[in-house]
Amino acid sequence: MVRISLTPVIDVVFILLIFFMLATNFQKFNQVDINVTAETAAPAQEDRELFIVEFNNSGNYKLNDDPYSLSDLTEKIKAGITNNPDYVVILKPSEKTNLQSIFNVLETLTQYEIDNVSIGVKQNEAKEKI
Amino acid sequence: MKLKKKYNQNNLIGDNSLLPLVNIIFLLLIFFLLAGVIEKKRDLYDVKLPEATLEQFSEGDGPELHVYSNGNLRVGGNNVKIGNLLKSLKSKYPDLKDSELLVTADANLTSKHLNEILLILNKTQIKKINLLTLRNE
Repeated sequence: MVRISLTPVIDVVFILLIFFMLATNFQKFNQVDINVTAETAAPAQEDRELFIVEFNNSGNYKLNDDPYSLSDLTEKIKAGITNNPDYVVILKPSEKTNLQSIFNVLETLTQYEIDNVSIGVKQNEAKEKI
Repeated sequence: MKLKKKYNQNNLIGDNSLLPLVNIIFLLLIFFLLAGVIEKKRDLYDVKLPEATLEQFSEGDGPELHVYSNGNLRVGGNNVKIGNLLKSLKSKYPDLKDSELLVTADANLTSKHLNEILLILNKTQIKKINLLTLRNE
């Protein structure tokens, strides 16, 4: 009876397994394109509807100086842009707000199909408002 | 005298007992084949990336800037001070103006530091600034 030995098969499969274990990457990355709006660029935005979103790490949000919850704020922007597609949403996080919180807001806005979002940068950091 | 080769039952038993091992190895192999992605490993230099479910991705070997939570910067693997950021970027990447800059920033980076960096990057008139995130499934 001709028998095929399993040992070479196991060798090859082990080598393949080690290769895939070392070469495989489970982390998936995203590259998020960010728009930056400088303070000096504000006059150029005059003809567009402006939604200025201020927020901090504690979950306090303001839309054009009025306090809202994040979901109410997005609903408000969504309602505002339905009739006016020429708009820009400027995110103004407070000084201590971390990047993860900025992404959380960005993500929520994207879920509501609010695309025209910029991160506002200013020359001289003002003191925290909220 | 020519001896008749005896059928060695022990060997057969030995090989057969390896079958469960082979099965498990095959399963592991199939798992790594299906679940993983083979791609160039990205050097994050200990930057803890923010997570997002946003789905945008473009592969490229463009200029890269690493930003730590304390605002420390790294261009092309070298530490740089914020005052020298523009100079370092331009010397490392001469065609910076027409390229897309990938910013690998820490999830705990404060808005104050981000503001400082974006102000400098805004001056370079870079075509596009991309922020790297981990995809949150």
